[in-house]
Amino acid sequence: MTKALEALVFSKRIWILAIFVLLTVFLGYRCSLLRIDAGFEKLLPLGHPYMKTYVEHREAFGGANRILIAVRAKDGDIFTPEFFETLKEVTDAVFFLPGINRSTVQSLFTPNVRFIEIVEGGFTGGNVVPADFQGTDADLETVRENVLKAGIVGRLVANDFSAAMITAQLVETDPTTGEKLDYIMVSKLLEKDIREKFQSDEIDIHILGFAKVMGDIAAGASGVALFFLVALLVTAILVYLFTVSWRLTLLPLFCSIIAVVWCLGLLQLLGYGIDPMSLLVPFLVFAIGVSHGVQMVNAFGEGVWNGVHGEDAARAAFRSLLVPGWIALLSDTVGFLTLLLIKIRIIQELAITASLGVLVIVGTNLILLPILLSYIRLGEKYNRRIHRSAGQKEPVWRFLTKFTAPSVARPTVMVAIALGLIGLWYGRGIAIGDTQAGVPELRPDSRYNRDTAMVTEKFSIGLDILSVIVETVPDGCIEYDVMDGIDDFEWQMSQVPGVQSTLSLAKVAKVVNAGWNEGHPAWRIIPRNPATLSQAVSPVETSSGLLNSDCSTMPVMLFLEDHRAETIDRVVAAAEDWAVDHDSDRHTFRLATGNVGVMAATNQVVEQAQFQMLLYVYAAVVLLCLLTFRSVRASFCIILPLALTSMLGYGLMTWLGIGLKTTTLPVAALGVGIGVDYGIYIFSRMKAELEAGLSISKAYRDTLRVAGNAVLVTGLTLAIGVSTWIASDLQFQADMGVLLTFMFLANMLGAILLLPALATLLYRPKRRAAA
Amino acid sequence: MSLLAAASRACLRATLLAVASGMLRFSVVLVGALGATIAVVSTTTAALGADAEKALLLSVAVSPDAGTVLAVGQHGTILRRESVGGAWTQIDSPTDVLLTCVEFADDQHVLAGGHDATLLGSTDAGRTWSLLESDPEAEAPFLSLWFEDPMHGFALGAYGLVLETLDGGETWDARDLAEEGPHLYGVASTPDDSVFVAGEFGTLLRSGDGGETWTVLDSPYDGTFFGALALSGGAVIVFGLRGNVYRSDDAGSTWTKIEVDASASLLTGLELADGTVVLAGLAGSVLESRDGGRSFQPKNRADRLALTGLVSIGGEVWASSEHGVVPLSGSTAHADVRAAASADHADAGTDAR
Repeated sequence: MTKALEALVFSKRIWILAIFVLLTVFLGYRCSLLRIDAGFEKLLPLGHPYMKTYVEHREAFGGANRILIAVRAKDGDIFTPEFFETLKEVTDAVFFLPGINRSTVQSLFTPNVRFIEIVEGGFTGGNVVPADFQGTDADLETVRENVLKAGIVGRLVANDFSAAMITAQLVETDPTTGEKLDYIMVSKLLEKDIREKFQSDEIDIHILGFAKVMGDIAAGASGVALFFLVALLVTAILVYLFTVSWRLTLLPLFCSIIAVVWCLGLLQLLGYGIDPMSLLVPFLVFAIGVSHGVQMVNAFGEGVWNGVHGEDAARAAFRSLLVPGWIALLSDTVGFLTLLLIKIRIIQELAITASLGVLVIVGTNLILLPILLSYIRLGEKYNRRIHRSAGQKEPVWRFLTKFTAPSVARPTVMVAIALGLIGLWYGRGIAIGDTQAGVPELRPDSRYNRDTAMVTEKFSIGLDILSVIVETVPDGCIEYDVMDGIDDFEWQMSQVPGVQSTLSLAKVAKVVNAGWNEGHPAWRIIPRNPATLSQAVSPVETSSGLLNSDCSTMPVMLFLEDHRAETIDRVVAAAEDWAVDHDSDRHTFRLATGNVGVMAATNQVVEQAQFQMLLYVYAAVVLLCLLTFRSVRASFCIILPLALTSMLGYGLMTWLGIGLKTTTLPVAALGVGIGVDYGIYIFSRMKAELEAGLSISKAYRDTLRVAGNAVLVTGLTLAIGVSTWIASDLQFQADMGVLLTFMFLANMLGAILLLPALATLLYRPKRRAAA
Repeated sequence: MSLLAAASRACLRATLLAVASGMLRFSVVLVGALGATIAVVSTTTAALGADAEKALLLSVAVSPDAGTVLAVGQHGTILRRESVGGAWTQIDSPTDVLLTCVEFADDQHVLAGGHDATLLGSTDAGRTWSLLESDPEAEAPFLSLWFEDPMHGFALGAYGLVLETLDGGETWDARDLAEEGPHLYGVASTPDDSVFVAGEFGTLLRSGDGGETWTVLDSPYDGTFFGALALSGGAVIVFGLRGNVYRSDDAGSTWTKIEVDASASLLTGLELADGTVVLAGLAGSVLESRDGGRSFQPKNRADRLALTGLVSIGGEVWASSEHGVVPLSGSTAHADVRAAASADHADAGTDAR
């Protein structure tokens, strides 16, 4: 089978090259059309019950997709004509942003912001900024007074009167054109038409919201090009040191870049964009490509070493690596495909693109590369250099071979098991979700997170909102038992640590009821009398987002202190408990929308998926090993180092305070998928040597010279390439960088130290029995 | 976990207490005795709900011996503190209605009232409580309490609701004091034992015989009075909606309007030992008089908390507010922008009308 394929590939190599060139040109063109694409919905775990609530009710209550723009007077307060002029212009500018749901825009200047005042015999009210506002001192004083009456201090006006807020909801799909909203463009417009335009010596603009986050992530992600260059350079140097030939260095790099081009081109063909979150895929494809390329070049060099040249050496390399290469790439693919289990579209996209990329490597590095190598003639000079270089490396192999001595192997395995236990012990405390305040994707000192800090300091609005939707009978808001139930729920939730404040129609109705009673707080109750209750509810309009049109659905918003995983868990558990105890045919409490609702659902999905995912990825890898080597012991030798790395990875995450979430969960699967390559390459080589009748030490020494050498180089290459991410502007890339670097290094060490030690212990008794 | 456990235990205790008090209503004293045994349980687990300290509180009272402070409010919340600067503990409450008033009859006997015409009693200085009266059908709250002595007292409420007890809260009889059925918000007794009641529609009532008979006084105002305060010098001050303050030096026969720099409604007042008079109310408005209540200066709070009750504890003034019990002077220091806003432009609202 391999032979037939070999004959086919090498006899038609011109034709195959031509096909590769054509495909590369075509996919390269498609690749140039690729756009950065960010979406809110694909971050949602839509299969989760919370998200069903979200999807059902986002029309009525908006979703988790708000933007907040704080206009701040750097000195003094907002009550100057200039400030109000600016605030008005910014409000107008917000109306004209794409994707804005205009009825949800709120600012001092919008008509949905009103004040109510109690006077002898009833109420009076009006717009906070009167229609005839001219900016005179008297006007400003009126506004100042109205702001206080409207009770919007802390919400639309800063607690110290130094800033005013504009808020709006974004709609993801344009209802008229059906076009998807381009968040990155919105973010750029926010920057250009609002921040740059209105920011001055007197006025600062702080912008928050998902669109801004995506924009900032995309901007931060542009640094990736530089990392790619650095990684490319470092890889080139390492590979050169390994191959001692520029031609043999450039060819695998070239083929790996082709793999990246194909992968991106295919992505575009399939209609995907490249998401800032999945920028890691091209890196991985390149890295995996280089890893396999180096193995191929290495096998080729071995032929040259043995005096075979050109096509024959290339054919030999092709032959020897086709099967292990396939198996390794297949296990990578399976590893990535297990990510499909996590029902969050962005992770699934990542799974598909990464699997595609890996499959592409079969073409570029297992077929194209040997064909290209077959044209290479290396002279005597090269042979001398490679011998010299090999001689220099001999002490390293001698040292590593010691791990096959039982006296070293046994403690090695014991240390590994101890490390694994330590990793497990540390890792059991791993946090699901975010462990810090602010937007975790960005650095704590990023502009966005500084804006967040400023806004939370000046205003008393929570940015972390968990909305529980109360579904009840039509006109439920004028039924005492329903409203009283909501009120009780709110009171109970407000006692839960981590809940800063709450807001619901019930709460507003209580204040309105007090309003009907001349404002005395003794009347802040849900009145039993239906007429009085409807009087308390009717002033609240649906645009408030506190009720739907027939008043059968009302959200209870819980403002949380932060969105750390433990806070979310506690609050969600309390709300779930309440729902279980109090749901009836009159009302049900459904979790949850709001950004924290999304986070809670995501955390639950991630938590649920993580073991399932690891189980599947390991099952797949074990199965592939069993099929390839037809030996339990062999599989054991390959899998155990991987498992150790996984455990230590968890421990490391806990130690570094990195939570398990959408961005870090894939790393676990990727780590296993890529790590298995090393084991397979080393073991397949060693197996061949053992079958040739060599002792385990000798077999391993020979393996090291060829496969081990390549594993060492690729392990370092991958680790160094990915470690460039640690310098990223984006926190999640930095986190991924740390974790992947660790995984690559640990997997490499596991493969060259632990694997032979295990093999020594496992294969020895058989030899004795045989002897 | 501990929170849940505490909550379920609290729930169980509340049920126990409610059942117990229901059965033993015939004797307040007996309830008190039972309460005392439950109190042992209570003190061991009286963990304060995370937000109870920040709850809407409508009244605060200190015992005559200054040993106990009680505050009541939202969802039946009863907070208790034993010493100046001590910690507040949340007391198990036999009700979850909004409690609006609390009053000491003597050092041990305390009464609290609230919505659904609810009255609660305690005979152990507020450590344990029993439900005395509850009538959701009435759709009316009690708003103020007054005791002539531990046995004889009045509970006054909305729509002219008035109950009187002659046996320390054991039995209550309805009284009809005012014709139109106004909300009766405030009550005060002068050093010469006259009692004044103030309420809706400018209602002002006076009794010179400990509540036996009542006279309707000529009112200078037809808006709502939220409170009344009797000063040591014999004068009576009534106050209410939109910063209206009136003073009488002749036992309510004539009233003079005191012009004050405040537009927010005033809900509560207190005379301190040194003769300083303090009035406080919505939107953090605080007025202070150093001349025996003849003129007032604004000392508004920057945080604009609605203040609902005042007590003096160890020389310091504390207020119950929509956000727990707060020291009155707590945030006056920063009362710059907002104080000016609400004081200087008292009538700005009329522009929009």
